[in-house]
Amino acid sequence: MEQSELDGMLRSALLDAERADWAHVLSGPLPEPDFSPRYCRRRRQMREDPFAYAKRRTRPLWRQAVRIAACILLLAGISLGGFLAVSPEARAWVTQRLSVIWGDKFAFFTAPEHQDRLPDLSQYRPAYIPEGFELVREWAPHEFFFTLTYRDGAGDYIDYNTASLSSSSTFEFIVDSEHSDSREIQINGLPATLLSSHTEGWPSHLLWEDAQAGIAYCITAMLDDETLIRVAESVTCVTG
Amino acid sequence: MLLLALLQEETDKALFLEFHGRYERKLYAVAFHILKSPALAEDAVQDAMLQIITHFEDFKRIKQKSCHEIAPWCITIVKHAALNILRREGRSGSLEENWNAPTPENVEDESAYDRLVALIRAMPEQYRTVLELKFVLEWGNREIAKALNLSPGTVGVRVQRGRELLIRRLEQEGYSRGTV
Repeated sequence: MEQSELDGMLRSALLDAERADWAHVLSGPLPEPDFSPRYCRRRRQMREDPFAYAKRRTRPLWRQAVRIAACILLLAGISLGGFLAVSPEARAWVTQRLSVIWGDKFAFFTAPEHQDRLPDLSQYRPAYIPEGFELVREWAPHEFFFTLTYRDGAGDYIDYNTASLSSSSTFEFIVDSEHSDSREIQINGLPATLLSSHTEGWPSHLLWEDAQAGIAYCITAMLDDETLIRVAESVTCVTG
Repeated sequence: MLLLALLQEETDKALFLEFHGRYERKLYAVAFHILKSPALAEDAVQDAMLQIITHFEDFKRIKQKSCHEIAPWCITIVKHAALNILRREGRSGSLEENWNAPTPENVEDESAYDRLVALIRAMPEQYRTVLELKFVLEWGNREIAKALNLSPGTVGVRVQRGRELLIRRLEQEGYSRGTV
């Protein structure tokens, strides 16, 4: 038997194995899932225009990031170049935190910090979470990043993300800006950016960094501004 | 020309929506069975649907060739989306070299093809995964390597080794290479 025939048979056998493996799940009564609002929202967008939706969702992040980085360089080069050259204060501000609105995207970047010890991100958590929300996921893919996800019975969610401002990494956050209004606020005395949703079913985002602790924070949540700020201001180091 | 393209897009959209309506809950059932979490199962279904849209030409080709292949094909996609979530969460298993293949009842009664299906069903997931991505989804070694966080060379070795393991096992059980 030729290799191509063998591979063709192998493909058929793999498909039949899959069919047999899942027959018990598929032949039984199918679930009637109570899909979350987040999923329903995405499904609605997908069904409205599947191909445009997929194109948007699968666009590589690096392409967006490169475009935005180019914009930042341009802005820095044109507007800030002379100022930065003579002002150490301005230089320090720019190297700590950059946010920019570009087209329909909002981008937030942190610059590398030089720290001897990385913070234990898992120790920094919100002490206040609105009633009805429960922790459903705790994820730390590596020492530079830590995330907590809370959900409530209605499927609304709070995604709390932290990243360390290490000497070898930057924290980048890119989000569609067309569904929110941006404003600068303070979280426990630290400058922060609030992207307040003005579109039904879209989350708000709150971003800030604590250079002293060496941590960048980003909370994405289906909450009103006041509650979102309250969650952010409650973040504390649980071991004191 | 533009009108034809628009009509094609509308036809494709209708085809996808029909598929989505028929298969969404089935894919959710598979994803939930693997992940045991409604939220993660939703993510897996969403990822799978995105993959199906981005490989829609494959979808149409398979549907045209044999509509019976659509169900296992999209199950393969959602299964890998779910396994990918497990991998991201560090919940996937380690690579096993051996597997406990079910003993054949009677070589005379079972065709080589049926036996091959039974062996695949009992195969270690890590070998089966690369074979499925390679032969069912028809991904290249580079794409598989990226998805599984392996080197393309390792993928090539696993594809070759997985295929050889199946053939060797069949030959050991008395099936000749000609019938496989």
